[in-house]
Amino acid sequence: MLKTLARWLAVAALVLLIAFALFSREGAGWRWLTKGGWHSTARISSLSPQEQEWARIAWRYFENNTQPQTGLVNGSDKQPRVTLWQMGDTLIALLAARELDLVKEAEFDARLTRLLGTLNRLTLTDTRTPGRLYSSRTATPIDFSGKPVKSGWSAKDMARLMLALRLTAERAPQYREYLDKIILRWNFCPVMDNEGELRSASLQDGQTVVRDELRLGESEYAATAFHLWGFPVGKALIPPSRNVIIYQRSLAVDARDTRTTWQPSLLSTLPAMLPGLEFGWQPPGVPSDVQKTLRERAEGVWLSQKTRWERDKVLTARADFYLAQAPWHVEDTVWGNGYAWNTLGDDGRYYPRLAQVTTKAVFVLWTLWETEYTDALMAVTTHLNNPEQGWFEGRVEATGDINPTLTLSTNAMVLEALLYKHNAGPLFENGLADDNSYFSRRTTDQFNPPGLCLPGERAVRTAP
Amino acid sequence: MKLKSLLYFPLLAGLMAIWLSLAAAEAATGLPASEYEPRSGELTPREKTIAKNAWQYFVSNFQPTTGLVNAVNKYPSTTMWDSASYMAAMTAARELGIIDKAEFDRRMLKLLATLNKLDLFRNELPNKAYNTISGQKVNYQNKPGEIGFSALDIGRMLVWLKVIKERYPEYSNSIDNVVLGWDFSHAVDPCGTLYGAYLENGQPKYVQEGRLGYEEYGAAGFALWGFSTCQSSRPQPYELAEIYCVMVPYDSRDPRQTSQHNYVVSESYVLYGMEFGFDNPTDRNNSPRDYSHPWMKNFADRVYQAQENRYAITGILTARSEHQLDKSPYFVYDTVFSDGFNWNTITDKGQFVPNTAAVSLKAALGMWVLWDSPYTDRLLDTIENANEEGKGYYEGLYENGDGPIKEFTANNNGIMLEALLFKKEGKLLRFNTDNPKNRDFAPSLWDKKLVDLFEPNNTPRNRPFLNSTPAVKTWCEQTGTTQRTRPACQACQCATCNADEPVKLPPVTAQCLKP
Repeated sequence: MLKTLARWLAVAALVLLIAFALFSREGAGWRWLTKGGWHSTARISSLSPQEQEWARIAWRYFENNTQPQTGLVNGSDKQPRVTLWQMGDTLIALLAARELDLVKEAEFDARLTRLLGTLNRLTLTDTRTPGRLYSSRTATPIDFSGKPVKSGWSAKDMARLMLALRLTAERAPQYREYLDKIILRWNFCPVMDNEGELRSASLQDGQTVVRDELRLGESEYAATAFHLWGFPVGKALIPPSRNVIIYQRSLAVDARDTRTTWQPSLLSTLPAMLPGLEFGWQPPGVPSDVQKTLRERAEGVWLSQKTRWERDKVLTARADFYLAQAPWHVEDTVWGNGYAWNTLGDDGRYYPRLAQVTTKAVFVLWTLWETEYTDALMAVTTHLNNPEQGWFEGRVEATGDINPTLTLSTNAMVLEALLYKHNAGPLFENGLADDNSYFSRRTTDQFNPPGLCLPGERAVRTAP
Repeated sequence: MKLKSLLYFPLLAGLMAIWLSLAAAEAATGLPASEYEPRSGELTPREKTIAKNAWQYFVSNFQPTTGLVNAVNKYPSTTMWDSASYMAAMTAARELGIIDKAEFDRRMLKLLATLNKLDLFRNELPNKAYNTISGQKVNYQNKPGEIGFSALDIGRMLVWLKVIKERYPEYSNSIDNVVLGWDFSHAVDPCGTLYGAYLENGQPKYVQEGRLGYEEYGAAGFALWGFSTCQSSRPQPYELAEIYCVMVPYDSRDPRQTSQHNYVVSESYVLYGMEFGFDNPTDRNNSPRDYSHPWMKNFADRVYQAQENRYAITGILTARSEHQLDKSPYFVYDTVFSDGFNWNTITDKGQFVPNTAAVSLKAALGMWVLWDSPYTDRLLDTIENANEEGKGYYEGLYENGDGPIKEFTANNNGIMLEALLFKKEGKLLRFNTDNPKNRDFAPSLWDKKLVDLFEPNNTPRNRPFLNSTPAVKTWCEQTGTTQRTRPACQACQCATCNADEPVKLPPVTAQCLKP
């Protein structure tokens, strides 16, 4: 009798203990269990007050830089220029702000509504493709000095916005129809060829020059974004690769020769890690061997940076970043154009003194890998902000100085990374455009085709 | 805690098993090149013809006034490197029976006299260039003047002075006098790093010279004369590039910051293989397949294998080296790897000139003799008749099919002759003079000066120390020479470099090259 009681008591104590373990600290244990913490390297616990504050600071940038007429956000602080990539960043930041309770539902609707209208009215160029750079005040194509100009298009930037639109459609499905209409205006005929290679165009001496600008990393990322909208995957998903060796680790880089194509071949944090944040490296509809390759390559990029810290004692988190003076935009890489840890300006020159621990790379790595190294990275980055302005670009490797430039992309990446943590996993559930949508109705309408080389039209053409 | 450590045990065991299986897999994938034997034996008539054709260059470009030979056809200028190639050519011609001892002697006497009388750069070491008619030191325009010295050129000259001294002891005194006239105080530092010199606004600047491959080859020349070359003889710092499944080592000093290209080519390894048989420079053993310098042999195998694989995979015959051109830019580094890119072909300024890539004849014949393989048979078939009567062999055959590079050089033809002599005799450095370890050792003029404490030029010219052996001591006692010995504490001179530290070989192949 006593024995039975003792047993029951023991069981009750055990159950209580388990319940306590699961549901104390606001259910952190439960969350760990349900979100698959045992097989994830990422940080997936709910946001601490400090992290909530980080998100608020990042959102501050968007509050300061939203243009009321268009709803677009300046690409850099007080600079009324914005690219399609940055428009995509804006949408993701807005979604994150809603999930992280930085904006109320009403404000979310107001902001998104203004953006939807602007994107649906965006002035297209002669080829009926979106331009490279827009004025955030007027939503018309401009050049870097702000003069109206006919520019080419960037497949990379288009892809980012297309991906952000899919994420918006998934997380705010009530707006799906209007999101679909944005893409239905664009002409994809010159952008994607029949073999699935993505092309970009730029203006050189008044002439439009079309070329494939995407290289390994960016290329697969763009291809998966196009695929979310139903475009076939092709050459862009499987760029030619060769291996280079950094710290006895083999890393795949694009095999096309930068000396003859004049297109830099770069290996950096963001193109490798964004598929991790967004799809857990399992973008939908992509063959599983490609998914596996994406993950392995991302791990190589992460481990190389970690090894540089362990071996050479240099804190390393590489990504492209902006500067307040020439060369304005810098590709800070793990490997670039033949050299490990190369730092290239947009003029193609080598600027080793500009290399930095880049804020957005820190946040992405910190989120995806919970280790001592990412803690060390965060320790030098956590104060790189002005609570009234947002997060700075990063800390200079050579001197420890701050690069106090403020950009949309950095602040959006902070929010995207924190959204991953809050969400305890990849941002997309699925992401593929489904058949039951305005988009698929329009693209499969054989009697009134949009004539823009959209996915349905491609299928018709390839299946005679 | 205990439970935890128990849990780790199977994990550790598993990791151990993985590691062991990986190690086994790695050992299984060696390089085919390591299995290829060097070629040896008497020359066939076909090979003899190649030797005769190559020697033509030295007949038509001989300058009777100085005994020097033009480095490039009809252009009366040369360097120490090219003159060493000429000495190699002369040796091969004599040993292969193309010229007799009389012709050899007439040429050598003149050459050594000129070398002894050379006007040195700032009275230190031979200038980078000399006029072959007047024997004057000249600048890059072949006008009288001085421009600096190259530690690598001098290294190669030291190799061949030593080879001649050992093969033909009758020239020992003349040769020792040449080297005794040189001042090494700026060329080698206590850690054994090699320095070259150039002039900046009339002032000499001494900078570290040599990258992986050439650096160790140059250092071997210095080591033969007794210098300690610890730092320059080690392969570090290097990184690996994956080139057609082979991990090819390259010097990791950054060419963007040092203005020296880190090119990987056949020539440096081929020369090391032929002249030292991939042995330590001072190894007196001549047995052909006993490599006392294992990493050099291994690195050479990699550089060879990458080129053979390129042919197997892309069908492009490949034997790469730096070479001259018959058109602008006149000189290129035509490499297996350089400045960040596989198969880079660049000018000395670093400009990419892929259309000047070529099969270098010296590289092809050097690879042919050191690696007996079907691929090198094909290389020989390709190059054997790429010569002009009375001029020697062409510098190369353009990879893009544009035909021969119609330029002729002493270095190209000299190294080709060297390769043929290697086939006949094996490693070219044959020790003959007394070994200081022998009991009845008799020192050469160079040794005598080094060992004499009262020789005034030893310290000012930074001459090395002769290893003190019982025989050396006995000799000093018998002749009343006060022995000059190495300072007891070597580490006080250079604490950072340990010459005996073993070199661990990096992985050889990528996974793609499974047998």
